[in-house]
Amino acid sequence: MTKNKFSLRRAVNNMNLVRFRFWFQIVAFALIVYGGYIGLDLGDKLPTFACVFNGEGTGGKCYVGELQHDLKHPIDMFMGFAGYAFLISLGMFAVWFWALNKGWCGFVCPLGTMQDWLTMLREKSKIRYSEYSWANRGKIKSIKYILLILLLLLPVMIANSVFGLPKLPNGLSMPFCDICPGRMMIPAFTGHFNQFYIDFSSKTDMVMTALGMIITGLFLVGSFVKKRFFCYFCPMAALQYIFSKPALLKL
Amino acid sequence: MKNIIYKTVLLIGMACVSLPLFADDTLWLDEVKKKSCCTAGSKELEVKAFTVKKGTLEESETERNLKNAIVYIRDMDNNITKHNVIDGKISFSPLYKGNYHLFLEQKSVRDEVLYVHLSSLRVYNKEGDISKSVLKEMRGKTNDSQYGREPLDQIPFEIIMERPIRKHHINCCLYSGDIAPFKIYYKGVVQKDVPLKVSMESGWNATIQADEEGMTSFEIPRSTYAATEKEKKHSEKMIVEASYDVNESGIYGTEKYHAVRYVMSLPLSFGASPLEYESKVLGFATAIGVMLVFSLGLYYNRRRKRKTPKEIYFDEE
Repeated sequence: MTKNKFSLRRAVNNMNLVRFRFWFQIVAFALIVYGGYIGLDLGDKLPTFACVFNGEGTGGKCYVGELQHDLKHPIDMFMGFAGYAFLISLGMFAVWFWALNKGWCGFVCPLGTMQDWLTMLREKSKIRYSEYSWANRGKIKSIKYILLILLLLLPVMIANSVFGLPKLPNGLSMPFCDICPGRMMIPAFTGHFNQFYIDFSSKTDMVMTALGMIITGLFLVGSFVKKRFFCYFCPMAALQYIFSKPALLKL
Repeated sequence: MKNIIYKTVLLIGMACVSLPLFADDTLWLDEVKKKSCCTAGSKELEVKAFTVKKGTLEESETERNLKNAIVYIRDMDNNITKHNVIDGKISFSPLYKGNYHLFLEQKSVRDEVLYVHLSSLRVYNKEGDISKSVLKEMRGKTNDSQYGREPLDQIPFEIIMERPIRKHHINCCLYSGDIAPFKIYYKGVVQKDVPLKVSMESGWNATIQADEEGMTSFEIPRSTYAATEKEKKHSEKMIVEASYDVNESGIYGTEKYHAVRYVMSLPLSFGASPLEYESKVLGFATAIGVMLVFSLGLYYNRRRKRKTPKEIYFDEE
């Protein structure tokens, strides 16, 4: 028995983490992207990009989408049921995140997995990688926090007049989802390319959907030449950082 | 024998006479929408109110004579509650966030025929009493399907909408171009010979027969472009309805009847196809264009930065 325990520990200690991560990512990708087809439903507070636009295929839904939805309430309502709903959702997000910490990004996130696959493709093609200079890295890091603040602020400004400013149009109700490359790329893996569009119904919709298309193009090329290109701009990572200190796993 | 002939003649006569009047007899549930200005500040549970309409979508009036009407409300957990209609109005406060199905049943006897008017309406409740649904909120269940539900035991005749075949990217709503499938049930058994009537606000009407499996489906047409000139995301109402005659005698209240006619309506709404204001080609072209520009920029940037090896001279003198 002691010998077995020792062997197990040795096996774990000597495990090839790269290979383990590769297979873990494939399984997580399958569950998140296709899990809905086998009845998997992990809820709508996942700290990873499980896209709400993936329709029946999705095995759960991303918390960033829910967060934007939760914040689009008039202040009076937010002081009532909407505020409770927001706190419950945030609490559940923290619980999910507590379990895996940044493992959600490295092992589960379908968008991260796609980027890793693109990196592998580049390595196989023997194309040189790109990297940011240390000076630029600091500047780029701040983008995700700006995006996080915007995605928190814009839905609030749709339902409320902030600082006496006029209310924003409803087309900005899910500003990050509009520009998130996951909205286009994740449903594409279930054969649905219908998120690739530009909406001309209003100026706001046109700008946001066009931005979405531009960012998708940048995501594909950027992830090919730069490892985890999009993660530098990811507001989910910025949100996760707030809860990463007390998390169970330390990476 | 005489009784059978009498009933047959009565049914044929009813079919001939009442078909043109059928649309006028249709009752359907209609939600009374409140202005967002007047409900936003309320911390109490929202009260949903409904009226019953009679007639066609183009010409309708509120039906107030609903003394025998009963409303069944089914929540997302299949719990059914019974409500009465008071002064022609139906109101209830949904506890939870999610889909609620309302079923109206109104019986009346006319010319010795028992008319059972039925109508079903799906409403989505955006708010809820969080203290009653903390676990639901924590769970955040997302796959609460409103389609293909089991027939309700309380009403014998029902039109049930199956999952539509969507041609667009939005899962919540119906759009013109989507295929809407329905099944018609009588006492839990699918009826293959009952036609489905569809009428739209714009005036489009059709009668559709079921296929061999009892599925009645049609592609939601684009019958008018007039409304989208002002608002591109314009939505339109439609009603699907079916009727079913049963050779059955009995007494309802104090009145005798020799036949029963079930008339069921299902009010729905749909939007103009997003393809009318969206461009997929331009979407793909933008993404591919950005990829090309970014790739070429990167390629030339790397080429520019590439250092050419310096020539080496050996001074042999």
